[in-house]
Amino acid sequence: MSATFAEKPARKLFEYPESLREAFIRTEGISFGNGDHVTSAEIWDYMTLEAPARFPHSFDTRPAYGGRLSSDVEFFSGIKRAWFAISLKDRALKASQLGVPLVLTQGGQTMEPYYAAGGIPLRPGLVMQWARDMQEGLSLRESDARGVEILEAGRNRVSIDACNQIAAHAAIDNGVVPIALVAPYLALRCSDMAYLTESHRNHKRGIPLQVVDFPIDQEGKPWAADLVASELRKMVAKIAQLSGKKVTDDDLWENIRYANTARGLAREIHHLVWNAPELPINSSDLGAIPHLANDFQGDPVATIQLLHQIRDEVNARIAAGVRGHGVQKDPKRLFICGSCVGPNQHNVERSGGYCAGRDDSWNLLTLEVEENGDPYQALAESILSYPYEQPTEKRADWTIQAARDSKARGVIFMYQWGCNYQSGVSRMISDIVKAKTGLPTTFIEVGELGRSEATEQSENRVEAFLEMI
Amino acid sequence: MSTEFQLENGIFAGVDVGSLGTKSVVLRGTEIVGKVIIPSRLNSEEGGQEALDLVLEDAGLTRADVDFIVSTGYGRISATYANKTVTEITCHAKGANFLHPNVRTILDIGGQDCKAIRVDENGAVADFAMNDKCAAGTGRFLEVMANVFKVPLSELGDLSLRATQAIPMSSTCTVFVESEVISLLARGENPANIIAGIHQAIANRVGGLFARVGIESEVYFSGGVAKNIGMKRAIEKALKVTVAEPRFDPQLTGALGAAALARAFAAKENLAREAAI
Amino acid sequence: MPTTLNTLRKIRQAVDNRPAEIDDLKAAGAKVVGWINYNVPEELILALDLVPVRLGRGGDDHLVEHGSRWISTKNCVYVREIVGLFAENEDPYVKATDLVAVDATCMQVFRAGEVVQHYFNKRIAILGVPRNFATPEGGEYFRHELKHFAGKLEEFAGRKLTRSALADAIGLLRGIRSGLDELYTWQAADDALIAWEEVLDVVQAGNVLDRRQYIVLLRELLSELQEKQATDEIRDKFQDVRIFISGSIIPPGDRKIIHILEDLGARIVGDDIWSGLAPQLDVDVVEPTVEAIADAYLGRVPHGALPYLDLASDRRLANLGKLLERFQAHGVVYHTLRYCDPYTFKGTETKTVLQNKGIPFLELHTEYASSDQEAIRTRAEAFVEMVRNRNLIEA
Repeated sequence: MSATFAEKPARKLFEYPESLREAFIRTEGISFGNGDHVTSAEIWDYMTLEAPARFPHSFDTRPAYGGRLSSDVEFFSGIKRAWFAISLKDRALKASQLGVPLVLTQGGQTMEPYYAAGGIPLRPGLVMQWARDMQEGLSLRESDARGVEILEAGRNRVSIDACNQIAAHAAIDNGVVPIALVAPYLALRCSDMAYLTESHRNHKRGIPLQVVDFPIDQEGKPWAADLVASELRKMVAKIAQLSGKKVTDDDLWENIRYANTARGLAREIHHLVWNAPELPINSSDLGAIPHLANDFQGDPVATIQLLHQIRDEVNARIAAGVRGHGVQKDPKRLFICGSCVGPNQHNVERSGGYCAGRDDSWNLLTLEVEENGDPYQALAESILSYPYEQPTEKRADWTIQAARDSKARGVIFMYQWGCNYQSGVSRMISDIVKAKTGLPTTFIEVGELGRSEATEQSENRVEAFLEMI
Repeated sequence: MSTEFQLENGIFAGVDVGSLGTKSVVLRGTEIVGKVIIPSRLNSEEGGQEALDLVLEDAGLTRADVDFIVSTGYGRISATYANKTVTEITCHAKGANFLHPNVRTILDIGGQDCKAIRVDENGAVADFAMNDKCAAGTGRFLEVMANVFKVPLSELGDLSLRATQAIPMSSTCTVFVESEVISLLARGENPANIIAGIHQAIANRVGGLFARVGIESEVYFSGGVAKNIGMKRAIEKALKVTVAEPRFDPQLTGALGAAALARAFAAKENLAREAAI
Repeated sequence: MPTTLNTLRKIRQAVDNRPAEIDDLKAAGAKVVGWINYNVPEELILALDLVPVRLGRGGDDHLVEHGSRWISTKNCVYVREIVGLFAENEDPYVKATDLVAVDATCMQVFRAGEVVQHYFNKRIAILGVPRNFATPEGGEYFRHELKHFAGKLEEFAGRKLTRSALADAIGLLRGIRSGLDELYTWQAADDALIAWEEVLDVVQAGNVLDRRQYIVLLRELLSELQEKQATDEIRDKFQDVRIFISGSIIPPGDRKIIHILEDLGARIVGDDIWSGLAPQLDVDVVEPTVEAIADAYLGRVPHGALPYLDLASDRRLANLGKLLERFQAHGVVYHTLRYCDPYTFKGTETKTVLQNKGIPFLELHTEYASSDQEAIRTRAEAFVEMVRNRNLIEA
């Protein structure tokens, strides 16, 4: 290798055009549950000055980076949503410093009891990203390298057969992020969550651990709901011990109402988008909505405000016939199954596609908690009715309905290397959907959970699938 | 001859038949008097015999002069010339202890596996861990990578030191890494940065092995890959240890340990004979 | 493996004859419940006059490959082979099975049940198992769940459970478990007439044989051992390394690790695997009711797939410690199958726990393909060398 190799020039970071500022700062700000208010001017300054300096990787523009900011800069509530997600780290840290317990949850669950008990729940994906961002100023590659370092520490301590979400557990073990309690629902989405939670038990840090069981084959079994309800009570009591809050049924009802409201708004937005003559927002903006509505990202009140703004802006765009930036005319819509991973939405759109929904997050939006009776029992019954967590043949039927609702022209089942549980039914769901609808389906194993390098193998498969449709 | 005399003056040979190289060392007492490395043959029995003949030639000795032969490495199972076979884990431990009596931690990256070994003061294995199936990090893997980058294997380490930034690579699977390398080269990434990333990935896997057995500086790095300066630096950085400066060709550690064990076994047999008389 | 024990030969013959026997039973109207996983109570199956067969084999990479087409390559080989067995439909017990009973102890095995139901048209009955198995709420859940499961079995059998039938079945299985426990004690003696592998074969013969015939054979075997042990015949005492096996399942058909260890001169003297000794221990059914059976099963040696969040009170580990002492093991070989996450994730932790007791530990992480035979052999051999050295044992 004799030739010297010229380093490529550093890529320019994503910038929101200054020309949009005036119009943006005239829009509504966001109010929080604790009375704080953030103006649109403050949001603009954060997204154009502060965040690019502190978290440059979030503003990376390389095509291979699936987590790129949405290119639809004129979708103002999308900018606010991005701000809300990026600013979660600061808010969580501040909350933790004020004594609010941060709790690690599963990816595929709802969050009402955590907030009711005075905690803030965080999914593994959020914790993994947050762990990297505890060191600021990192480029995308540096952030990836830091992520790999944390991931390897987890693998070395537990097993290299673990899926990449072990990075979240490693970050907690090593004190990188201030998680006070590991307390997921053992929703069937992930069979490893139980063992990863268990893996903390021998660690000197002594983080308290709790799991809420998810009984299988649960339909028509009141004893299953009783079990979940009793375990929810125990979990709430545990969080309340840490937060110091005296939790009443009213606290839980309040959060159930927030969650029902958020889910209702998110459903409304999805149906508006799916049924509009032109897709008014792109896949990135649509794909972020379930995470927002399911998690609240630290604050239910702010989340609901933001969802209202998103809904109103989507309505306005539909009325004006606006198509989301990056979306091609009549794109081939894909419905994504599996969990934790999905295709690079920008690449999908570049190849003439559109990510219309993901089963793992969309399914949580389709249920409501009955607002009467005992709140724990009501919650338990709704948890046990997650469509994604039903017997697989039933889940597949729900998937078919979701694919129809989203007007999908193809279904891709994706799972992360190391995932035993979703991978086990990847073929089955694909086969059932194909047999009953005639839609093209495929299933793909990927390795990119928490990583952004070298995703070409996965992208090739998705692109080829789109070409086939 | 008396055991004492034998220990001082006996001839002991070790033959290490690995997947890439076949190595042999001869001791006279505790003095190294012959050493050889040849590429491994398809027929491991023949390769072992050949290495043994060559090392004796190097030492100016014949087969008749040898008191005891120990064979090790994956080819040990067909070593009819050997008096005894011992695993390379035990031999590497013994060989490292022979050269560096104060070292308690050994890393061996061979052709088809890597090992983390803890030893006691006598060179006996106290604990060990070896790579799990499919994990990236063997000599063979680096050989394949050298082909991909079209450089001699001996230059891979130096090339990694020219990196401006190590690119994070997968370490769960050799095949994944290879496809990642091809993607990155297609994207125009600096090969030195990719190679540095590969070394880092291997160091991470090694770190995993040591997490299971514990680590203590200085670390003795044995096996052919120990000659790769980039790998040495990556290990030192990832594991936060110092790698001991080798006093002997690290690729010969196993064969040396086998020879040292041959000496010990011969002495034991001799003692038993003396006791029986 | 040749043996001097006549009863062992009879048991092997009985196993060879069993498929034809089951065919005859079915022709006469009997129904077969093939079950998989860990916590399906055979007491219920027997009490309803159904024929229980514990399904599942290992060691066959071809079946693993076949199974991978329906489930996933990211599932453990045991689970893939289960699916492969159903896919090929040549195993006599799979063919004979009228109802597949699956419990949810190991979630991957449960997934195999779903796949088998969907692709191979097998009727399935599912039994949920609480993850929080040691809590009163978990116990309450399991009582209800088992009653519901019993109802499904009753519907299948076309008859109801009676107290006396339950009492009989409970007594029968109690006898079998205690007999097997006794057999384990026999095999661990220095001058044992029966090897651990032979005992594992006897345990696994019990997966398929008529349970009433099986207990007779078991008692005969124990008597034969007693008689032969009492003779003046001088037998060699075993001198080499005593190894205890822990970790993932070792089902019928999978003997790779065992044969490698034995070839190296090591002797296996015990196990706590969920296809060996573990299911025989601590099942204490206090009265002939479904609820009592539920309580007893949750009280047995826990399966590694059921998470337990407090290390100090982990019964599985406590039992492991007790058994190591009982069988005077020099070291532990912790065998894990690739993608068997419940046991693999606990490997390092188990090693630390045992290291604190001064017990050497080796994890052998493997699959059914023979491609790693030499690699496994090297690791096992190095471990045996290390343990010999530590205990000053001559090979």
